[in-house]
Amino acid sequence: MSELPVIQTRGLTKYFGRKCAVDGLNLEVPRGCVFAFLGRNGSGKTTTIRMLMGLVPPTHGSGTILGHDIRALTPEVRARIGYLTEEHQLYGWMNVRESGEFQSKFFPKWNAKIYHSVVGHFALKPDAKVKDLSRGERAGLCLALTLAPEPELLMLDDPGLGLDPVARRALIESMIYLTRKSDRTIFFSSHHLSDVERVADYIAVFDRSVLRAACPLGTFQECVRQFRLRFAGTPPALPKINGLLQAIRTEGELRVTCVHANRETENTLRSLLPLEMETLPLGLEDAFINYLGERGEKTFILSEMEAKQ
Amino acid sequence: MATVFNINTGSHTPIYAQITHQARHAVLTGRLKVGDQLPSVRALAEELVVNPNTVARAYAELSREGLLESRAGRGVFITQKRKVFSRAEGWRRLEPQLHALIGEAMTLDFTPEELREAFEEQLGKWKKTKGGE
Amino acid sequence: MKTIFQKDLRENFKLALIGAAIFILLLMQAYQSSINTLINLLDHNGSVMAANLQPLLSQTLLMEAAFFCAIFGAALGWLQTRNEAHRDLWAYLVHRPVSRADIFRGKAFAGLCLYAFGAGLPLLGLTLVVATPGHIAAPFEWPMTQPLLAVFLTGPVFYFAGMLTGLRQARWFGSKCFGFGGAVAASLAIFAANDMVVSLLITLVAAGILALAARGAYQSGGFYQGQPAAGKFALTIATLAGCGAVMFVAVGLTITLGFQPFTPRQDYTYSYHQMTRGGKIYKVTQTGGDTQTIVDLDGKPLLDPKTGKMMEKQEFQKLSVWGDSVTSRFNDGGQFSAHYILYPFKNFYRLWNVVDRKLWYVDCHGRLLGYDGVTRQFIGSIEPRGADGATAETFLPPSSQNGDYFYSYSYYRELQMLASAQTVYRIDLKKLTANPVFSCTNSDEIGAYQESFRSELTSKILISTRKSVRLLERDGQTILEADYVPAFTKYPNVQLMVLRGSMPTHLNRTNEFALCFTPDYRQNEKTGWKMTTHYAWFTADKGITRTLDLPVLHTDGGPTPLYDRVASSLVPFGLVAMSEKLDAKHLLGLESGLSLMWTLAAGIIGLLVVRRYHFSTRATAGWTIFVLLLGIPGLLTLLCVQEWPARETCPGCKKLRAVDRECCEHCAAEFSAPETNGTEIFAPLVKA
Repeated sequence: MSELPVIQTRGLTKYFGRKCAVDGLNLEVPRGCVFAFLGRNGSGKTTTIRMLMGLVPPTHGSGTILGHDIRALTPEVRARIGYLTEEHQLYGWMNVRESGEFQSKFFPKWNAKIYHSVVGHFALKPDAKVKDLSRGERAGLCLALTLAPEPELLMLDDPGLGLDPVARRALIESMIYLTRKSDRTIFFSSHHLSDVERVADYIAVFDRSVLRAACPLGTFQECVRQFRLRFAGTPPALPKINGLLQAIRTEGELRVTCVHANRETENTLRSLLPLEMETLPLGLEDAFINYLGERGEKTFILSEMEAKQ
Repeated sequence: MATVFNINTGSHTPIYAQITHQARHAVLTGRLKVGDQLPSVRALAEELVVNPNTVARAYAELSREGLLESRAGRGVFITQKRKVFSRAEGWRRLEPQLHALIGEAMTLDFTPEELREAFEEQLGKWKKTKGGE
Repeated sequence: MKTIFQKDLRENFKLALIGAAIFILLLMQAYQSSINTLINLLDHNGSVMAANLQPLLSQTLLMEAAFFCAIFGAALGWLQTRNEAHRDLWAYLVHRPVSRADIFRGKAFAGLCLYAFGAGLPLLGLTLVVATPGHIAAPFEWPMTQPLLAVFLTGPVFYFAGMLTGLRQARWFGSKCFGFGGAVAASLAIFAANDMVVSLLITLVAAGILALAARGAYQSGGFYQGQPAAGKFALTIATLAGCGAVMFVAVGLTITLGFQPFTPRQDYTYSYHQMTRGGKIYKVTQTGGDTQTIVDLDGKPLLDPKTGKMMEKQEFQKLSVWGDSVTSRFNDGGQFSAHYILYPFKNFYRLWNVVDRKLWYVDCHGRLLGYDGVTRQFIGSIEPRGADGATAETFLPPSSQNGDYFYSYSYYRELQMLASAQTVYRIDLKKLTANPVFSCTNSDEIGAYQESFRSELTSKILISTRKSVRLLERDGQTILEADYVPAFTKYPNVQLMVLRGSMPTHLNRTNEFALCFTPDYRQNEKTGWKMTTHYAWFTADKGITRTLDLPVLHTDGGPTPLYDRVASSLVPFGLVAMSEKLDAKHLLGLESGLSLMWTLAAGIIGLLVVRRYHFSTRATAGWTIFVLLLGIPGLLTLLCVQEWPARETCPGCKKLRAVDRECCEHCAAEFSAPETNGTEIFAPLVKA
């Protein structure tokens, strides 16, 4: 396994007009892993992928993909990267067979077996016009076209978007199938955390154009912790806690979520003298929501509404 | 090689932990016996539709515990359990489970005596099925 | 490239079909209108556009074709790129192991093939129909297809402009469609060119520049940055033309809507000399519509003897004498000289006469060609054979007919005379013969001739040679002859007027005549209107009795309004300086001064903008020179063509710096990483 990262960026930044879409991104994606790229809508994931693919010039900063400068990708490098765009756009007037033939003419290493098996997996009829396909079917066709050239690196921009659970499972099965060769790298963005949980080795989390986390999947889950503190009356004011994500106060209860909780954090919380304090384990989805949700102290969103009535 | 694993995503238990728990449980309940072969990492990953590295990590942990043994070129097998944890480590691992059990029993209004009796009874049953192992 | 070519061919074939269908309808209609012209000519008296008899030369058809080719080409180019402008489809198109230049080549080649199909095939069809005898009762020769060919070839220019528009990342109301400015400018130049070769060269250069710009846009995804130098250059040129066009239109609109309505109208005044039947010359000054003053050469007003007041226009018209005039065309290489592409008719033939439903043309090879108006078949040709019947000569085009229109009045149909450079012929259409009736000496040459239809000159023929002016009878007998003084080179136009006797129906030798020699307009303009009009009075018996030279009454448009002068000063100083008109007087004039000022102002603004964004030394110098040469349009081009990055405060030196640089242009500080907030989770990415 080559030790050079397949993707490496240094201070990669993109402005659209005055708006900064990606801010000083430093990222490394090791070879042979499944890398999930997470973040809310509009946080800069797609822009990052498009910069990495040489489709959008970075405003400043640099990056390499498979060791090549992203500002000057050659056809040879592109042949080694499979790229699945967000909206699964293809030529609507072609039918499934023609789409395959069109794509295959560009790739010397076209693997028709992979193509047919993916197309078969999604039960696509060769004569069906692309514009008549459902969203999931189109995604399947796109996937087949992307996988058949056997790329070293697979860049998938929200591949599960708009797919039903069955199609999504097919997608994930294909991704896992792809990892059979250990030097294949998959870089994908997604909102489906259950999928991420199944397939990802590493995750990177984008929050409002800034990369906030890049770590093994398990590490993330371990780092985000929630504490529940019970009080006799109204919970006291919260002291300053390092790495605080959220504090939700309800009648007689205080829930505190933070990252990198340690003994010091627990001591700080204990100093509030709760009747009872316990640590609640968080699933990936809850950890993610807490991580990217609104920061700071707040009361439960619905109780505020009730108070107003 | 019956499927003994059942993965739930969205749970607060990571997938690799689900695999190790379920493997231990299966051995404990006798669904897996010494010498039984487990699917390869690749096969299990594709069966469960999870990342092979996750399965590998679970298998690695089970091997460390001495529950599994990987025989070169032949596959992964359940082995005679060797003692791999120190007593203290054992207690450390057991304690949270006991804690959770007692907490649950108390919320369901069992008395400590009732609990103690039930515990004895279950232990007795378990000894019988295992044949005084 | 081949795969992309095939894909685009299929993807856009529908467009080409639609285009071809529309164009075929247009051409069929044009063909029909030419048939209708023929029917009108044969069945009704009146005037018809002789050019319309040959659809290939019809101005209407050429205009329609020009519009069609431009719009079709532009639509093809635009739609072909627009189809793939969706972000993800674009990504799908370019993310493959082919260079973008190859993709562009494949697409452009496909687009041009489709253009050739949609616009070329219908034109080819029309040409074949027209070339087949029995369809058109007018001469056909292959060079007649040149104007349509030139028009057809403007299509690719618009095609690439459309492509550029479809690709360019700019605002719709901004510079996105400025490529069309270049295309329109190029096609105007093509249509104005006097020469097919020149027009082809312009087409080639314009299409080349726009193709380079479109190719550059493919490579950079529609941005200026990231293009090869050739693409940047081409985009700049194309945008410059667009900026120029926008400025031109904006200034024009401002003047017509903003200034002209509020400026008092000045009546247009002009004067001319007019001879009366008595041989006296008066100066007529016309102001506005009807006001007219008539004074004699001493400045005394002409009074109406009946009323005692200044003579009315209508009364004076009765006194005026009108003659026949001929213009020798030795100077500009003959009568069938090349003309504008959209106005090519005069290059090829004149309709001379229509007799018994047969049309007779003098073509550019000097033959008289006959076509049957009913069967539309060729009847035969008459070629002049010289006075000895053995010398091959060519007919000069008759000047009795204006080139564009044929007046189908009965007296026109009486025409019988044609002339070559040496000989005057009387044509017998029944026997298809040309009978020589007059020859000039070997050292002389006929420059122009006119068979007259004015009452007193009916069936006489006026000819001008290098040496003399003659009036002949149809049988070749000379009625009168006068020397060509001054020389025709400076005075190509001569007018013969018959004086004395009110409306004589027959000439006799006692008649007095007057000749008026008018100087060549362009030569006179160059001398500053110093050449005079030469008048000579003479009788057949006594010869020239007196002569008179009068200054040419050149009319100025009056003082140019200030807003017009300011508007014309917007022309970049560089162009003003290059124009030939510039001398000391112009250099000190208001226009030049203002123009210099605008240009300098634009140059300074350009320099400031360029410095603000810290262009490289080369780019700074280049753009400054560009703006200084091209003034305001140049500055607009700079602003339109470049991308302008946002600027934000540098944490190092607190000055604004552009975000598209790796480090601050003032203090060289690098961009700092985004601020941390304590919730970062970074762990080494190593395998378990």
